Amino acid sequence: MANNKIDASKWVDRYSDYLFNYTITRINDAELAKDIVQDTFFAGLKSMKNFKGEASERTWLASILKRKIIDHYRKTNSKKGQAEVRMSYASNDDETGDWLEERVEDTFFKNADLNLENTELSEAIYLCLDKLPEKQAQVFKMKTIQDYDTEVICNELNITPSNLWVIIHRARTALSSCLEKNWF
Amino acid sequence: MGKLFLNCKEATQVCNKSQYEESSFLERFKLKLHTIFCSFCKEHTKKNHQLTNAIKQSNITCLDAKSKHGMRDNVEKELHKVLKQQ
Repeated sequence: MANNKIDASKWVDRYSDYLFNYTITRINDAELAKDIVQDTFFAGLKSMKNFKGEASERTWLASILKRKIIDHYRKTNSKKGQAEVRMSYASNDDETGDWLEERVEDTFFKNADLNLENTELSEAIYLCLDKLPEKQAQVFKMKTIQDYDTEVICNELNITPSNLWVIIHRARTALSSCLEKNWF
Repeated sequence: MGKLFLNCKEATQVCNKSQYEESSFLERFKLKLHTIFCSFCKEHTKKNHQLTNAIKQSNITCLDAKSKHGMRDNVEKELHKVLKQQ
């Protein structure tokens, strides 16, 4: 094979969670986010031979994903623009609009900074997870993010509960110090 | 764990379990007791809680196993196609 730097068969295992998390914080629709991630992988496969290895696979795929997300917003916005109904309640008389709804405190802006920070935090966590051994990251994700029961994980991965807790302990310690360096 | 005083290994175990709300009240009490005289475990417990809070705050998500499986199949198929063309 021409490009030994790329291992596309591992893409889903390695990057799909990160890419999905990235998408869902920007497009609030799980189904759509899945489609976009899938499209990203397809686009990556198509342009595999253009991958120069200058960036990591993850960064490269993420840059494709960013384009896909922008494309998505372009598409929906142009459709929406055509169908939008504009209401101008203030333009008739001198009376300016004084609707009760507008006096309500705008919580969106208040929380905007916080949301942004959380978005970045979840990406920082993924970057740290990426540094863990695959098995540790997998167990940690199942336990912490997907909230699976200990038993379920043990059955699925064929490990004992004490194994699981050792793995969890290692993962948590490593994550904690990684986040400390990069976030806290 | 019948005894009142935990060693560090046991304390860590309880600390990890309590991050997932899987520890009993008695266990948490014993951990608390342990951290009174063990500064290492105290620090570790603090950091462990911090991590739990950070994860909760971040609203981190990941794909469910089923969609991941589907995606893997699709990528596999597409990869075969691409390789054939080359």
